[in-house]
Amino acid sequence: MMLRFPKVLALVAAALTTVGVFAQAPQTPAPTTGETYWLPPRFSDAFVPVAIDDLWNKIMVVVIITSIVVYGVFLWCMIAYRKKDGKKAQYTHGNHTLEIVWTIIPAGILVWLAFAQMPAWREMKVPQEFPNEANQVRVQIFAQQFAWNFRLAGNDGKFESYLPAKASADAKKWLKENTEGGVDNPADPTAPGRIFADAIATMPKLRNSGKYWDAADDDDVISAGTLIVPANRVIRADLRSVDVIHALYIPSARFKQDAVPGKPMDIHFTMTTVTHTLDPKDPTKLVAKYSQDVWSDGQKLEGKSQDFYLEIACAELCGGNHTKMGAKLFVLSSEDWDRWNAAMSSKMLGENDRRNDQNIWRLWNNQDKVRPWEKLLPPAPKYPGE
Amino acid sequence: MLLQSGHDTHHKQSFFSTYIWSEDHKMIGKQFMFTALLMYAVGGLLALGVRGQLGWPETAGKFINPIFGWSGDKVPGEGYNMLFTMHASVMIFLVIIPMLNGAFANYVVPLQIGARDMAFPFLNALSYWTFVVALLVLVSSFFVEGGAGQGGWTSYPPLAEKQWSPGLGQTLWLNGAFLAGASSIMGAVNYITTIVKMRAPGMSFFRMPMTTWAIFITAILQLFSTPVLGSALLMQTTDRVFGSSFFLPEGLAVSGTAVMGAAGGGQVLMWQHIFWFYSHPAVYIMILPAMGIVSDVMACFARKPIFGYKPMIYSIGAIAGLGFVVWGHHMFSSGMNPFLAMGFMVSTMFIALPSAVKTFNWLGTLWGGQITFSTAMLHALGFVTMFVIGGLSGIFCAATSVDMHIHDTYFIVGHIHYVLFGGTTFGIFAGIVYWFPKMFGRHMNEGLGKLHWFITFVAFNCVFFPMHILGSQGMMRRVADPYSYEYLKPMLGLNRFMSISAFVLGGAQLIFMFNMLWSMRNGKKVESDNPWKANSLEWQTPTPPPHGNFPGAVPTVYRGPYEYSSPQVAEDYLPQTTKLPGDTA
Repeated sequence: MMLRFPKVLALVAAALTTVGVFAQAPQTPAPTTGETYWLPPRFSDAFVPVAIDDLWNKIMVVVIITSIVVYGVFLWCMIAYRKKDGKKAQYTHGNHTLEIVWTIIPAGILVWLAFAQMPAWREMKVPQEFPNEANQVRVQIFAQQFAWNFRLAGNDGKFESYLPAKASADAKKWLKENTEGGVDNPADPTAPGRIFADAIATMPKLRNSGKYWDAADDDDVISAGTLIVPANRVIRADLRSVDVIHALYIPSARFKQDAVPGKPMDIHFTMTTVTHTLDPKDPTKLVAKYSQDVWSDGQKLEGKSQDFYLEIACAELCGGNHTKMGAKLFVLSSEDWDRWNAAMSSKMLGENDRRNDQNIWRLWNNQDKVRPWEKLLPPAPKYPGE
Repeated sequence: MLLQSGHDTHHKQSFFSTYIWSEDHKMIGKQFMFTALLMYAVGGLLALGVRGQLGWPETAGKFINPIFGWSGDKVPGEGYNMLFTMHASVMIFLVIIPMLNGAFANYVVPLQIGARDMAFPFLNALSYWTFVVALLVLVSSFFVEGGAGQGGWTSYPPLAEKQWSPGLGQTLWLNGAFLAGASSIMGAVNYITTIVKMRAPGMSFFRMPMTTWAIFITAILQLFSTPVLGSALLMQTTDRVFGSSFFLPEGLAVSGTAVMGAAGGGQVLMWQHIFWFYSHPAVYIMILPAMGIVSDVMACFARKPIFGYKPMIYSIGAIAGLGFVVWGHHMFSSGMNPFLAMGFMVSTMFIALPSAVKTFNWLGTLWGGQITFSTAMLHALGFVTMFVIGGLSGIFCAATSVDMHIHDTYFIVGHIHYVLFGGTTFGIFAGIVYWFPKMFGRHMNEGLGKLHWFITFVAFNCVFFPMHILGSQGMMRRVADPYSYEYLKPMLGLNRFMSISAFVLGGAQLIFMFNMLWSMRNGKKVESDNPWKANSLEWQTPTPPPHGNFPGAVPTVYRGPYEYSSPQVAEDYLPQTTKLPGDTA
């Protein structure tokens, strides 16, 4: 194939475009907090959601320009090249120059997009450094059909509930008689949890007595359907599912992660907009700052208006009541959250009866496995008590 | 060649061997076409059920529940899951794939390459009847205890495992999909052999029309990817029937009770990898032949050679090749290795490239043409314009971090429908209208055809474009009542508009069905064997073509199929079989 002059020119232009976008590519996109246009209101101005919105806008620009060009040419053809009697169409089989240009320019744009999305993905999945432990809040999230269960460690920072070591004397005795080795078998660190869980599951008397648990120092804050987090701290969660695949979806923070049974996920997200304050009289009660009308552009939906909360949705089909698997998310200021956590945690201490209807947590330890690529992450401290 | 001699002097056929167990590729093509159109009605009605529920979640049950025998005033969640699961399964396995790779591949390919029939006529008939059995198995699942499959057409375990989907419906779904896959494989073997071995004299590979090229490459895709789906379906079947645990890890519980009787040790994500290893190429199986059809139709009605014939073929090849290494983009939010996701993201970005090249080449074909806006051409133009939207919305989905927000939302549903309805279905209509005169010796009514096209085009956009808005606002797919979420309550009005448009869209398809059936008997008779003045071989045979396709000797081919407006002749077309002075085969 002989390259004629215009062809050479076109090749050079296309190559320059490509080099240009390559040179741009490694730069981190500057976070912007402007209008989100098509996207819902954002309640987190952390790096990842801002970068996602920013990238969304950039792709939108590419898409709109491409559409204008393509539909412009298309409409021109529809008008200019309608059939006229006695005229023949242009007889051509193609044009190499044109084809090279319109291959290389989209290629350049696509390469640029490929690079542009990497910073957010890296921050989301393999952060180069986690903030120090003091700025993190550890949460355990356990999905089941059709509810989200949340567990916070309480004042002491340790997850105690349903640890085999905390089994009551009654339970230990029962296990010793009914299983080989009982709960304290050190040979298999994953076995005790399962044996213990099976014991509770198969022994209604023990379960109903409420005495299978030695919970003197258990101040875990457990809730089904409500997650309360501080603003501007990293929410570092261990996400698991006990039955089918669910997906934790927080539209207002642009966050999504499947909860895959048998595959604990180490996830993190950060909220920055405070949605609630504390009741001055009772630090365990929350007061909303907005009403739900925020979703409909200030247009009040009759009979629907109520106190505001952010929503956590299940985004992966999980069965008949999939549509009902929502949860509420409240964001407190960092100081408020500390007060709330302290108050809740001391309220919980020693109260273990409430666990009878939430004994989903007895199955938590059954899935203690580590993702194979976890070792690529900076070493994360083990959950205290595990 | 033995296969190509004396075939046209056949003995008289009985009713049974003409219409039921026919081994003639043209009859099998028609059988596939009518069966697929019938299922198009079924799949469409299921979609209307879904739209009804999303538009009127409080009252839709009054109309839908009596049909399926569900109790209560509202559509039960399981029932809604059944509706969209079977809508997708019917449309994919029983409409689009058999229509493109059954009907068009059978009817058009031997005619276009100048073969007297398929290489393996018996296998061809077996492929159709296997498809019919698959259809019966899938449809029968509505009538068993617990109803049809409810795990989505993706049937992700553990939801699709027997502990969570105990009914027989899911097992029937697995078996039906398996049989449909077997039918696909039989077809693919046939098309590849026929195209490689049975081309007419002078029909070199680079003189084949785009439809044949697209079906050739698609058949290769099918042959390599469908067995992988088969293995996944078999594994899930043994999980369900024999209690193996390919996809079940340890430590799971159903309603708080530990799962007993499953060995554990399985991997949940393994299903997704194997399933998408087929089902992503399947997306191309469902669009490439339509691209071929549209290329043929556009060149014919623009009276212009296809712009960049070879780049078009290379693009199809590139899409097919890259199609095997992009499956992970369905799993960005699944928690697979994030470094793997980067690789899938790059390959996905690059598969947009040949698609863009094809679009530009179609524009190049139109540029400087002499365009006639016949019904077939309108459908082909509809394909191109809608495919552009489907392609561009794909860029959002391919960007890993943006996909975190729109994954599993209506944005994805909008994207897939712009490709499969806006793209493929318009391509199917274009193909039916284009080849109808060859099949039945009569034209479809142009007035009704244009009316159908217009309503379909407008209503289609009213149904599916707002899905991008819903998705970007965070409305999840596969939720029966999205308005149980506060932030989705304002979406009701838009959903209702889409649902009304969907009913209009469904009604418009009746016009097409009527037009087709009516025109078979009453349409305008064709005045010549080549009513569109096209170049390829199927138009150089009698109408309808006899058994054996070409009376006398198989024609010799002297040039490519797109010599429209050639300066060599006075007319604006130059058939592949016309021998000009100096031509050699």
